Amino acid sequence: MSGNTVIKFKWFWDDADHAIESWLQDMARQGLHLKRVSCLRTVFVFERGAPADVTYRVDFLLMRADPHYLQLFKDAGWEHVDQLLGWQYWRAPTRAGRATEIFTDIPSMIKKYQRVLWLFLAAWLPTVLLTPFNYGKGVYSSPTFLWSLAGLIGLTLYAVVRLLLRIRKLRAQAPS
Amino acid sequence: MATADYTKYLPLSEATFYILVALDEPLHGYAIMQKVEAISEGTVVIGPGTLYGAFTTLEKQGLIEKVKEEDRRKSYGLTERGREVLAEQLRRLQIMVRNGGAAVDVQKGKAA
Repeated sequence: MSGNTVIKFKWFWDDADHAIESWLQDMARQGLHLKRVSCLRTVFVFERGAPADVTYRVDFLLMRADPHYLQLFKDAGWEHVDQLLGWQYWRAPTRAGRATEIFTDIPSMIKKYQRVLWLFLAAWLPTVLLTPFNYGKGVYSSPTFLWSLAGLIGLTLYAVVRLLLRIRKLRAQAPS
Repeated sequence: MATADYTKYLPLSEATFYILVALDEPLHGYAIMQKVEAISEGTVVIGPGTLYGAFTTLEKQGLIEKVKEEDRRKSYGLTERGREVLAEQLRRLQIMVRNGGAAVDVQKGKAA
């Protein structure tokens, strides 16, 4: 890879989309423009260029982005940077007086976090439900495995609680 | 047939209201965004994420339907039910405007 590529490692919880957005905007102001996201959203690959005032926004989809979704955003002036595990990274030049939000009301912001919760549920429910049946069999008899599993479930629950708190905060802001 | 019960759809959010109003003629996503901003005199701006989600919800509710698809752009139009829900929302808004107008007039009268 060329010397123009810069890689940064960073961890964000799933409710921290706004933190990701402002961090990416800070990077862009320093001339680092996002190119790719990988490894469970811990590795951010940037390309060095001219500093720019760019707005980043992150969306979440339960399915791979379909062409209509991509076209709608493109028509509205957004550039699709990358997608990873359902997270969609969008950017647009920041212009005075122009709408730079992809979500313009609270119900649609809440729905985004609810989609993330569905992903957690779909990913974890089978494992959690099967654990009592598998307990003591095969890998399920290994303490290391069981502790790792418990740890992962604990982390997931923490992420879920954060998302629920985020949703509750948004609900409190919503009119009526 | 008795008037259908539309209360489960009402009140429409400002964004939903304007999406339905804009779909008086079949339009694709970005055209809706532009039209809503224009006819609402800039008071309502709909982002693409919000609009994409609204399409899914409104289509599921049977208030809008896909009428055309070209160049990766879906065009939607109002269904019969969508038109009826919009009409019922409008009727309620007119009552609100009447009542609000009267209250403001009373206050003005008091101030005078």
